Amino acid sequence: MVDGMYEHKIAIRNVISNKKNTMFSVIAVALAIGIIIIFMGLISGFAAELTDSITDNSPHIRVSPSENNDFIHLYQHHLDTINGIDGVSSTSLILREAATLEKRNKGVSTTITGIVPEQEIRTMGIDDDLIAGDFYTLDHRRNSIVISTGLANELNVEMGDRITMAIGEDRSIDLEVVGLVLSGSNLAYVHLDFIQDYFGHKGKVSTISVVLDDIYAADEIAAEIERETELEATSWIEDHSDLFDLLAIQNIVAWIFYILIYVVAGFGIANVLLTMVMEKKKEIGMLMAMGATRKSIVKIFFIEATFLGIVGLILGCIIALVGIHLLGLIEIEIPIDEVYADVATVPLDPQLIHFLYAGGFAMVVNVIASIVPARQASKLDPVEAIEDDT
Amino acid sequence: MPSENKIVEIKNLSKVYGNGVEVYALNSIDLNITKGEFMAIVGPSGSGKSTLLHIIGILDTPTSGTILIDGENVSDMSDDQRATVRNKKLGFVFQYHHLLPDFTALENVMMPMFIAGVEKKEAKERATQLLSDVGLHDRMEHRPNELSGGQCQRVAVARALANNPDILIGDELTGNLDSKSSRMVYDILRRLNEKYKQTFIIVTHDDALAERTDRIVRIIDGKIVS
Repeated sequence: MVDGMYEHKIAIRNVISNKKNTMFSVIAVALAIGIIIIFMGLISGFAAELTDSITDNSPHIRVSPSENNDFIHLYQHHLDTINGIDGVSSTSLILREAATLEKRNKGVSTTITGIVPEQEIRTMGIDDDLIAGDFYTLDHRRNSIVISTGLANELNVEMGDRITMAIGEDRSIDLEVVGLVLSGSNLAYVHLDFIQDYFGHKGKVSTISVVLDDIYAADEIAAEIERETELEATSWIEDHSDLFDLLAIQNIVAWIFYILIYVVAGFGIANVLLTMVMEKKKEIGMLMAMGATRKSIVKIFFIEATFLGIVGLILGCIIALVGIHLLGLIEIEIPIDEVYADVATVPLDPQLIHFLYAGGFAMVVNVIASIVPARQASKLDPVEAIEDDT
Repeated sequence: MPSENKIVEIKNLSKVYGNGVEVYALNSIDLNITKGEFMAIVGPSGSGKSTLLHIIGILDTPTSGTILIDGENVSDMSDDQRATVRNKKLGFVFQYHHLLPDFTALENVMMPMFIAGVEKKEAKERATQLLSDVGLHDRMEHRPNELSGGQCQRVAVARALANNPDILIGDELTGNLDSKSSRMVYDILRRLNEKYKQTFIIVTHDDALAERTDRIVRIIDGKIVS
């Protein structure tokens, strides 16, 4: 039954009685919203995945020797200073040297990383991918090494085997494999004390890895470390600035894409409303004859557009939720090395703000799309509209 | 000052159409219509009778001259003012009923009252009474597509009377009906005219119907000839 706000009832009944036409408009809006929400989820999921993979496998801040120095000296003092800075979660000392690892006639040139296991595990979580042995053996077994599965495959060695670490042609030492890390890269870890002794770098490290409570505070804390220690501190953001520039460009392209989708959906709505104006011409004329003002006629069409928008919005959100759920089920096999593979899902990070953005823009597009049809309807001459024979 | 019982006063009214070549649809018309009068405007096609009716109904504006409805000059009113006068003082029935197809007979009759801001309860009571007056008390919840042409036209008559207008305007309102339905609609109009004492102005081609009204105004080539 009609109530006082007759414009609402007329608008809603018009929409409902024109199911065929309005269905396409609603689907256009719903698809636009659904696609855009899914896309926003994919883009932010991709950015989050990228950030995670960067920050998971590398420190948030890399502290290097100051200019003209190959090593960081007096590192314990610097370590204490850095650990005293607010926001620093943990630190780890690293000394890297190049060497060749050999087994029988096979040799692989690689970087040997000297670590304090407890520090590196706490800071970089390197034991997450450990599939055999453990890092702590490096603490008490002097001539020991932990290598990646990729390297083990290449040298054809297993846990407990001995491999030779050679520097140049006249220095070499046999090391026992005490741990295997799942990785396709050539990784080799020894204890920091051992590498310092063997390479003659007592009291020196190449870098200090820093992990933070808030990864996005990296730039500020890096600047503070430089001020306090006079060493070079590079944040992960600075290290990957090219990547962030690319993400920003990707965002701009995505927004252009969203706008284009909305423009297409907007034309769909305008077309449906214009058709409705043509079809309802006589009724609009009769409403005017009954005393409906031109403002009321405009209102009817705005309400129709808003109603179509709301239905499209609800449907669009459902499409988005279903789409996100289905995309989340897709599993992608990511090869780690020749033997091992990891299974990942499509990176998706749906956020409430995406729904709000998509919904807000859809409503704006709906209102804009209804301006021309509403004006056309309100400008109808009642006599011409009533007597129209088309 | 308008005379007490004049509801429409038309003075020297002309309506001219055309770009370049001017065509007089109405040419210096003078016409007074008394309250409660049941009159017919007749004339051949293109004589200007519908134009005159639309101007009386404030759906169209004259090129020159004045028209007073219940003493008010409606010729120079704004769009919104004209809409208010149409809503409160005028009721229309056209050749085709133009009922809103998605609303029931009762809702269609209530519509002008909602436009006027009448409360739902009051509107429903009056609409029910009017539908009973036109003999459709048992068809109130039917939609136009569930009613015959004659029944739809009777709903249109009830709708035209919804806001208790001073004038009911009928433009060939029986033109689409068979003779039986035509007679029924005329009888209803006559009875309502006697009951509610409103002014009924109808344009018709139907001489038999015109003969049964109180007064016939004949228009030829935009001029009143009798």
